Amino acid sequence: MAYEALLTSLLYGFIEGSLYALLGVGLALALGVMKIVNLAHGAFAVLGAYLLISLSASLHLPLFITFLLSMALVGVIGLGAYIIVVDKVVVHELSTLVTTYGLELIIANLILSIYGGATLTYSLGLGTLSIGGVVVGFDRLLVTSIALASILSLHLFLKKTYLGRAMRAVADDIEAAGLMGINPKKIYAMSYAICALLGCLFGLSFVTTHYVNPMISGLLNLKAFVVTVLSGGNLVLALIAGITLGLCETTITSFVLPTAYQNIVPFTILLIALTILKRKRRL
Amino acid sequence: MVLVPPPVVKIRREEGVNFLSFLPLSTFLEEGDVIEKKLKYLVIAIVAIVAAAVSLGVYYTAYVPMPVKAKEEILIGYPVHLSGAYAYEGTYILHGVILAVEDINAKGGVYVREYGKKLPLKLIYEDTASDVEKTKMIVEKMITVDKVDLLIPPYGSTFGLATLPITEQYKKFTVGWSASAEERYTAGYKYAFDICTVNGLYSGVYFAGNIGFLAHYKEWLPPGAPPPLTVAILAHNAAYGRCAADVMEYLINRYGVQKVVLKELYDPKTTDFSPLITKIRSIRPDVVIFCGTAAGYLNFYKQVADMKVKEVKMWFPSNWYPEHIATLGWDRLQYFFDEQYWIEYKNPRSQALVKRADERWPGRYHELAWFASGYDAVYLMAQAVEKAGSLDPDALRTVMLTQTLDSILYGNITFTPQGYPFVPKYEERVPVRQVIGQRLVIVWPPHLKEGDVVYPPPWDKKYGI
Repeated sequence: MAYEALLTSLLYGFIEGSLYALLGVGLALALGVMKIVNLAHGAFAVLGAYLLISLSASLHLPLFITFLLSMALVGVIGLGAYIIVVDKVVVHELSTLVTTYGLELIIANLILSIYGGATLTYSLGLGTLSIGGVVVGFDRLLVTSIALASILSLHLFLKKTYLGRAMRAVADDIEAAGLMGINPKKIYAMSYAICALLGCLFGLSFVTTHYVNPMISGLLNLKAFVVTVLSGGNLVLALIAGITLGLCETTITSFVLPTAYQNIVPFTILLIALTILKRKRRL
Repeated sequence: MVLVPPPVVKIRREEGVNFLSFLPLSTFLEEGDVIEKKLKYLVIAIVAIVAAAVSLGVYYTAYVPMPVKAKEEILIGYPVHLSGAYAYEGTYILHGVILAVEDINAKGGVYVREYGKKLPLKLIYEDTASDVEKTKMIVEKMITVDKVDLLIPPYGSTFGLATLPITEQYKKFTVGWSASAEERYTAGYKYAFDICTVNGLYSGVYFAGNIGFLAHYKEWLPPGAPPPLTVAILAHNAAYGRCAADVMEYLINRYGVQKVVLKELYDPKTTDFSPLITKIRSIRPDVVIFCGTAAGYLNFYKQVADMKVKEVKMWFPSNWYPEHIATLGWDRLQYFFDEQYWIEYKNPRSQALVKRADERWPGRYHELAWFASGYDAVYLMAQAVEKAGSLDPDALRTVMLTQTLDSILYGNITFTPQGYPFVPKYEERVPVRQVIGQRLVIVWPPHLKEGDVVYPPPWDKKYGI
């Protein structure tokens, strides 16, 4: 039983961690390229989840098409939000913080007005699988695969494509990138849209394995923030940070601490990591 | 004839104080703008007239007594959650309130001895958007501006604890399903009466029926089945969850039939319940009682079903909402229990009321206690007013504390000085239901029973293991 409990913790910790990583990379991208803390990130995730639920209920299209449609809509909304609002303040750090927080409030309250405060979930009904005596749903395995594949694809996109390299160039030195013929405005807009898409992808994965309500976006932002800070905007580190957080959360609260401390674990890790990093820099 | 141009006033900002500078008009003018002198006198005249009108208004409002209008109706205010997180409960309570007002008005209203006639009820309600600050403002406005005679408090401990000090300050008589957290009963409110009952120590309406049912297992246990002897209590780490967990433990210990082997609080923001489920699987309790928020219920039971937890014989959430069933599906909930707080709901009177409400608001599920509590709020207020013969809050309080009243939820009830109903043997009268097939079947108490308990549940059949 102890072996089974440990395996359960590790497996579910890995699944949660990969989802945290997916959530964190969107925020890390915004921070890395545009140097902004995008507080609307959680709201895009929730918006994607609600769009999936309402589109599948109203259009009755195949699930894959509904997934793509939800992502496309959130991508367009993200792009629109950037062009109309964020672009105007993107050079002022404090203004972007307030603006993206405002965006989050607007999106969350619109969802609340349209859908009400009910908590919703979306079941894929894919059945279960037993791994070493631990039962796990195929839906969880599927979203883990999606999360890992998305992060890997994003990594390759940034490394191998012209557009990705342009984004990295803008992140490194915006003026030099401009002199090389890259339009930073377009790169920023595209980066923000990709962040919204990643948020949406997380939302779609999350609602099929967990739940959503309009109020959850703040909590998602916090988790994403921990991953982003730990990774320092690096995608590979974001993946490692996310999985580490997931594993620590499940194993520590399964065997060491009461479950009431579950959400304290990531922030304790964050504080420890920041303290060590700061000390190293001083030395 | 020589035409003389009218004299002009020139605005010169650099000169400092200008004759018109105290008027907002001057702020719209630029240096060098010209104003007709006549306009200056016109503006002064308008200001004088407005000032005189305001002074007269203030004088009449403050010093001239208004003629007293004869009482024509009893105004009831209800700050209701129609949107936001508590819209679900708020909507059902409002349906109950509306039906009760209509029923009483159909009989001509409430007889009030001090006016010597029957007065109809008039209901005013306003959406709180499930926002505490907005709710407080609405309550204050209903009391001071709308001048309601009676008030139904907003649903939920957070809202009750925030607004009851206001209603007490204005001595406003309130009846409704409001706060059930411990602080509400120790605050010593005089004019606030709650429909939510308490059990043992303090707030214990939720889960009490489950515990009464468990304690009497010898009456429903199938021959040869292993009895449920160990209990795990899981609750969200918030004021209400902690309170509910304490009450559950208290009741279990009082009966002394089962043993609490795990009492664990979880963070209400938890999105992953696998650590909690891992603990349950390690301890293997016979019974798990889960007290949480709607998000917690959905996520926890979704994960329990996903992980095919077969070690537990009985799962008790507090109450299945139709939206939970629709979201999770009957299959995932199969053999799980709940309790129906409306202890009189099999009564023909209650059934007729539910039928009427279902017809009036199709697509809703009015068997919930929230609906009955809304009806009772108005029904109890009307009885109190008739018995007191007055709308005086002290007279109404005396009636509530000294007389037996009739209610839809509990039948005959009396109230304690702390303002909650005393319902004898509550935990042995609450219907307990089990999900069997596509129905919630009442399996307890014996006089309401619709079917036998499925125990232990055939998890092997359900999960295919």
